[in-house]
Amino acid sequence: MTDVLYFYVSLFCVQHSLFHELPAPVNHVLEFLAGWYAAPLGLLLIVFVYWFVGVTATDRLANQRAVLRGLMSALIAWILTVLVQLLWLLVLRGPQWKETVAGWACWEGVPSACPAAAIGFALGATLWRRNWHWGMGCVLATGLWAVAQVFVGVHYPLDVVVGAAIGIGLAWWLRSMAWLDRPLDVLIRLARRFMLA
Amino acid sequence: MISVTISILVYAALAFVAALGALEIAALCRGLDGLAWPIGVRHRRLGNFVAGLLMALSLAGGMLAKLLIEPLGPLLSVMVILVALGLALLVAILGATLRLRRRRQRNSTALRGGKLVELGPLQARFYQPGREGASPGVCLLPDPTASDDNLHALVQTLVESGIAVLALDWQSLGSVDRLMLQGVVAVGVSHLARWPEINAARVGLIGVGLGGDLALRSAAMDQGVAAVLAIEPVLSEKRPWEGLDALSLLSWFEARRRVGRWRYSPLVKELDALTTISGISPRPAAVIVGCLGGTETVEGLEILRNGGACSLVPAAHNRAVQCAIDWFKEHLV
Repeated sequence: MTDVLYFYVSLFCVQHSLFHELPAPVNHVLEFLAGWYAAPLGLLLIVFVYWFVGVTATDRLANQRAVLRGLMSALIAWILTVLVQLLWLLVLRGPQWKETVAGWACWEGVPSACPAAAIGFALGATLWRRNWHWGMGCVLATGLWAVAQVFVGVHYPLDVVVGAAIGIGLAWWLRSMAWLDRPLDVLIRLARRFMLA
Repeated sequence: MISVTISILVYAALAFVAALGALEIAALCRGLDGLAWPIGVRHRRLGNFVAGLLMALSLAGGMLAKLLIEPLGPLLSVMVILVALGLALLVAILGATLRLRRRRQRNSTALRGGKLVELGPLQARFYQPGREGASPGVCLLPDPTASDDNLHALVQTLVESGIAVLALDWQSLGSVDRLMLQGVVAVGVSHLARWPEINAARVGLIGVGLGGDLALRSAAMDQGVAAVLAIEPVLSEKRPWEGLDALSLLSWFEARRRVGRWRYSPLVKELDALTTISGISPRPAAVIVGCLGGTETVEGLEILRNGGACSLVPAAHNRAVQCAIDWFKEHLV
């Protein structure tokens, strides 16, 4: 277990040490990108605009279904990352772990799945399967967000990998559930009543 | 506590500005005038520039705010952004409504020109084509629930095609019921048929929206009608909701009002246009609808599809007007 944890926190650890040597303006930009304003806003705006676009009525319906699926998978992915973090906290409780990790140079706290990667890749993967251009936009924004979080030291690189796996896996899984179309269509019809879909 | 409140307000304002820009882009992409604010869809280039500027401002403001105020936590941040998106949607709808209302006030929709005709309590306008000899004529029935429809293009194109038009004005009647409407249409048709320059054997009816339902029923009752065309008739109160497309020409509030009038007007049920269609045969009858597809015929009724026009403002759409003219040229001229 100790070896696994050591491997987890020390992999690509060099990037973290590089961060301290970057110029102050770059650090400021990275901190800005790593925060919960720029990237989440960008992702939500992509989803927001995608809701409205589409050449034909059938296109628009498919886009709106993709948006709802994406939001749903992002929400579930976020919850899963919280559960993963709780699981790590449960495993790493007790004073013996504190003594073990005290000497590790790369130790930055208990590992967890990166919620940024989970949310962003869940949205990106869902949109990608409908329209890869829009999916690519989401994936790029998420990539930037997650990398910035690693550089700033909010997450370990493997947190991002785990988060991305959760997000993409969930998006693929939800996309294969054809029965979800019916409840989603109910929501879209409701939005149509209010001229919003 | 105060610093968190300030952070919430600042980030909400920044997200709101960015969301306004995104909405403007979405409205321009889809041609949704009822959602485009601050710039309407007619000024696409300026609109895109303003949208880009708003989003750039929000991004730059975010970077500046990072230096000056406390960043928000993940959950709070997402909630603030979602609230800002909702507010931006609300403001865009309200702003576009005011912009469209101002434009409507500037460009009056009331029919002008022609000759004012008094048919008992009803007023109408008669438009005659310039050509020599007896011409065919149509009685134009606006939607009784949306009497402020802009019918200029339809009237003008009909007249230019050599068809005389008698456009009835429901506003002069005040409140109306089915029997009164049918009576007035019968008077209009007979008046048109008696006009010296009109060929009495080639008098048709054209109705818009609920006026289309009225046209179909009146044609079934009146054998003097040679051909009838309904543009986007309502036909049933269970008609599917129009959705976002309605915002391409109308403001959100106007679109809701029109749908509500169609859905809850007793006239739709009373006119029951669908059951009267069999009574029109063998005279030509057609409806123009906004769905994509070709022309087809169902039990004596021709269905012409004009390719996705907004069904709430049918007569404002060029393809619907052209479709109507082509059909009348084939069956009446």
